[in-house]
Amino acid sequence: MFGLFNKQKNEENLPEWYAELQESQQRWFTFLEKLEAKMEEFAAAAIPELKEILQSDDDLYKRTFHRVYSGVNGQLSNIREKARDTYDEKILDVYQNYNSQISVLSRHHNLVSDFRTACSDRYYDFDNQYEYWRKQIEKTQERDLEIEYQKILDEFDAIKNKFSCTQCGGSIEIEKIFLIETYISCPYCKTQNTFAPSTQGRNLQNIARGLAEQRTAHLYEAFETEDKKERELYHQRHELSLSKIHESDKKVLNEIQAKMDDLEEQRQFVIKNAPKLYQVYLRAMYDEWNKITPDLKEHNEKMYQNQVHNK
Amino acid sequence: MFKKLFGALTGDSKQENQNFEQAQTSNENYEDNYRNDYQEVEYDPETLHGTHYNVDDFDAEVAERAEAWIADQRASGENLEEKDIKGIYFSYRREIYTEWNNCDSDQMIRFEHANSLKYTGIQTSGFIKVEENNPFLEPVHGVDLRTYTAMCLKISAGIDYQEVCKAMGFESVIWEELNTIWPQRMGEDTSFTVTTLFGQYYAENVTVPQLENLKAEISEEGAANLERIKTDRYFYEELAGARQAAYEYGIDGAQWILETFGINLADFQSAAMQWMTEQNQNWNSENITEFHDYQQAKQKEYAAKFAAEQGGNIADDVNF
Repeated sequence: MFGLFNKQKNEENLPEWYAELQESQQRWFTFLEKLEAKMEEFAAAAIPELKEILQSDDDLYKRTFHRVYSGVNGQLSNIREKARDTYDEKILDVYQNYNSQISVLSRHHNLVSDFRTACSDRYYDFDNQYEYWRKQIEKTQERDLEIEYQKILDEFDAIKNKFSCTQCGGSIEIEKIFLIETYISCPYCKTQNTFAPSTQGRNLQNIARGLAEQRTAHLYEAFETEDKKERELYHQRHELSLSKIHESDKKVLNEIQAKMDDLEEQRQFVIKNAPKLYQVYLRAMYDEWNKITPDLKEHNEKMYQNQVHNK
Repeated sequence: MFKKLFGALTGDSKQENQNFEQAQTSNENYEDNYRNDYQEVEYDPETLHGTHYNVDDFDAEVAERAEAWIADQRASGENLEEKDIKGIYFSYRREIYTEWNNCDSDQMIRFEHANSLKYTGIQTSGFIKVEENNPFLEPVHGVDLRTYTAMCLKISAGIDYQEVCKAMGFESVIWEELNTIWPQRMGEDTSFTVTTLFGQYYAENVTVPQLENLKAEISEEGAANLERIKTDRYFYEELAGARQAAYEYGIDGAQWILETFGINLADFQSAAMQWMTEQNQNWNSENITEFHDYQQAKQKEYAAKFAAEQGGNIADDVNF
């Protein structure tokens, strides 16, 4: 009852300009809501379409897909830019205008800062939405490389015994999947023949790393999980340290301290362990990659050494 | 510990700083010194070190201050890794260079570019230094990097690779190996010598006698535009912005540049490399900002144009 009375009294005392702030805030909220709806509607339509284009794009480099993908991202960024420009123009400018006119000592100054906080919090939510849709769109690039790999293997099985010498006509067995054009000498007449791999066969070197990563994704995830623990443990410990401030009971304080020490120990372990898990992942990924394209092993191993060195 | 830190930050330690009456301790002072003394410093054209001191003394000073700081950090229980140590040296190098030469940050960055290989092991476009017998630069099938770049330029200009091979007098098998081994070396070479040198040749639009007769078709207008993007930085920035805008509207930007301005991908990339090298060599933050802003503004202009052609943007009807 007293609260109600106070509120009325406060409202009576509200300055005239407050109505403008309220209106701006209301407009801002509605504006972002509409943009979010557009974004959702657009992404929901684009995602299945992108997936379909990727499926039907026969081009080795999926250029049509990438063109459309880039256009979809362009529209999404355009929405985000529109929000940013509007925020600068309609919210920040208004805020700065009042902030410069109304003294921080004024009892109404909090209305100005509350306006800004409410609007920027709402903006933050919008940006999260944007990030969400951007990631969903990013995911349309993912394709099951096992299927593509299997096609390459099947094709290789079909052609490996069908190559013959241009000179004597003798059958030449293709011993492995060649990634580029290669000279093969005829076992009978020793003539040098040029074997040209198919477009699909050549594509093996483009998908090999992706396939190796796909196969070792669980190891990467294990590393990521461990890596994230450091912050979590830090925050847990920090909260405990805050809880000590108003505690005077020595026994309780000791208990908290013990828990904190334990968390710190775990945290130190994680700091050392996460890079180890990364190394485990990296080695396994390169091993897998080398299995898929043994011809690239020598080069890949040098790249691996550089990467280990720079980590 | 704080005394040392303070000493490191202000340059207030025993060092050969006789060239200037006092080390700068405030911005105001810095501005004054800058105005009065900047022109007096002479730089070695190769190293960009001031000629009033010895390079070995400079390196020794960096090492002395860096090691003192490292020892201090370690004494207070800090666990320093290799990259931290590199970072410490990097900061002191910047600081002492600025101090001893009394220069602005642009000059300092030019100095860093000129010495990137020496101090960080990485090449910088426009300051490339190549030692003899670098195994990464050994010719492949008798084809050196310069010739390989010349071939790449022809192919990205739109000439069929088979024709390029014919002109070079070898079979496509050789090209495919070249086009595997050179890029692999670029990846393996942590000093980026191969990549940077490739970029330099690309910027120079190098050619070899065998390929001189292979010319990509270019319209009269295209030739004029090409000349202009090489000489008029604003025009180059405009097209770079336009190209970016095209991609954002689902248009193949490189193809669009070819159709609209008659400039092929090879020539465009070559001009891009040329401007990047120029920018590195004459580092000037004011100009960089100016060109960056110009490109952004042009990108916006072209984006509006593409949007209009496509019937507008998705959220055009949403208003505040």
